[in-house]
Amino acid sequence: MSDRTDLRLRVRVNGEEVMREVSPGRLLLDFLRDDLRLTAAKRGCDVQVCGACTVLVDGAPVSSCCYLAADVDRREVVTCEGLAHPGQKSKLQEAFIAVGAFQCGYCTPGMLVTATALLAEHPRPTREQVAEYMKGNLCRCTGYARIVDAILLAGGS
Amino acid sequence: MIRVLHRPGSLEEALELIGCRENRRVYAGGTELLLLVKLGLAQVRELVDLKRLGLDGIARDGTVVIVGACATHAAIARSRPVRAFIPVLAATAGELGNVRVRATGTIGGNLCFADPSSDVGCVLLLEDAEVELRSRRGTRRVEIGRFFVHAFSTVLADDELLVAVRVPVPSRTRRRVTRYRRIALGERPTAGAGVSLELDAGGRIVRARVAVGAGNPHPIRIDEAEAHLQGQDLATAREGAEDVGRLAATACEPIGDVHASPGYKRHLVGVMARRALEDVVVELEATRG
Repeated sequence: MSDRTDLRLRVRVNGEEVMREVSPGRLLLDFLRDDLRLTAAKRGCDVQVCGACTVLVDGAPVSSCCYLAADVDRREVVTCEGLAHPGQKSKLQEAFIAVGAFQCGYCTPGMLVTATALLAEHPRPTREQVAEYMKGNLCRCTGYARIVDAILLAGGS
Repeated sequence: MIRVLHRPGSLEEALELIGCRENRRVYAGGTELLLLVKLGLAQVRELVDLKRLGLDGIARDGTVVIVGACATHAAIARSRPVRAFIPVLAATAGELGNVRVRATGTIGGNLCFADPSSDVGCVLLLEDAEVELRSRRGTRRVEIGRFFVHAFSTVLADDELLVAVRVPVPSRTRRRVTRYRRIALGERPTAGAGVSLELDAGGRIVRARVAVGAGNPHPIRIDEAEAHLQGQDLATAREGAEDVGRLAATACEPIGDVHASPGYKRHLVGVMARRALEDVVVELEATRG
């Protein structure tokens, strides 16, 4: 459409500088999944309730399904793909594997990203802190116990 | 469809942009507006981003804490002056929605959206806050109790921006405790009510606020319940907790939804008001000088 004004976006995604033209209404989730082919963030509820689409923007967890791509201009985005160097795993990812904190796995990238932010804020969280912080990430398989266990393990308790 | 995104770098520029065209809307966090756009409930062709106006500061200025409209809920929950002087606001901001909504959603957006399922407006009502509204015509301050008109409706004019929330710092010579109680299904509060009491040196209530948040179309004070508490001591106030709950329940006009009928919400409002009062009394008794 001729009356649409696209924006030039410059953003650091998982440590790499990215420049792209985006339409003003482009959602961050679509930008990541379709333009950059980073498909770890998932479209779940699509109304910022389930947490499957969680990514970090300047270290803070956001729902990329309800966040404009334009709003990450000149900022830093980390998706689940960027939690560790390629071929490696973060301590938290190791803990998820050690504990077996998966069932279907759809919520896992969002869980990992949110828990990464949690551990940055509270490096040795209590079970209550984990439960409170992770309240906004839903696991439809209801496998919460092991997810919490894995986060506590990564936090050293 | 969003066609244009304006990103003004100054308040003057933003005030120029707003109000002069249909289908142009301001946004900050976008946690409310983008949802509406996605659900097809709002037609927006042009967005005006308010995040580059420097409206996100939080500071104490003498007898008032000034919270910039674009301060996020997470920033308010963390803020030293808010925690020190308006702890009920810090607590409410820290429990709002989920961690992602708190990281992006702003106090100004929350108030202007005027969702009946919200706690922030009620807490500000308990603390006698004002909002500062700016337009090219000038600045006006509006008591928060006069800001809300109905569900999703405020007195904000098309060419106005809410730029700050001003919350008076309670006097040091008196003891004030404010508590807000709510019940939420998932992340949306269904019913909420709060009480704020301030005692004089003799232990009499010299300032009483009772307000209903979620459960009424917009936050309201319950004058009759406040009058009931005014001048009493704590023991008498506690005995009247049931009455305060009943007055709050009677005064509100809940909107029913799939989770709760109006009658059930009314019942819950009464319970929340009673418990908030009991919380305040317990807290004041514990800190008796």
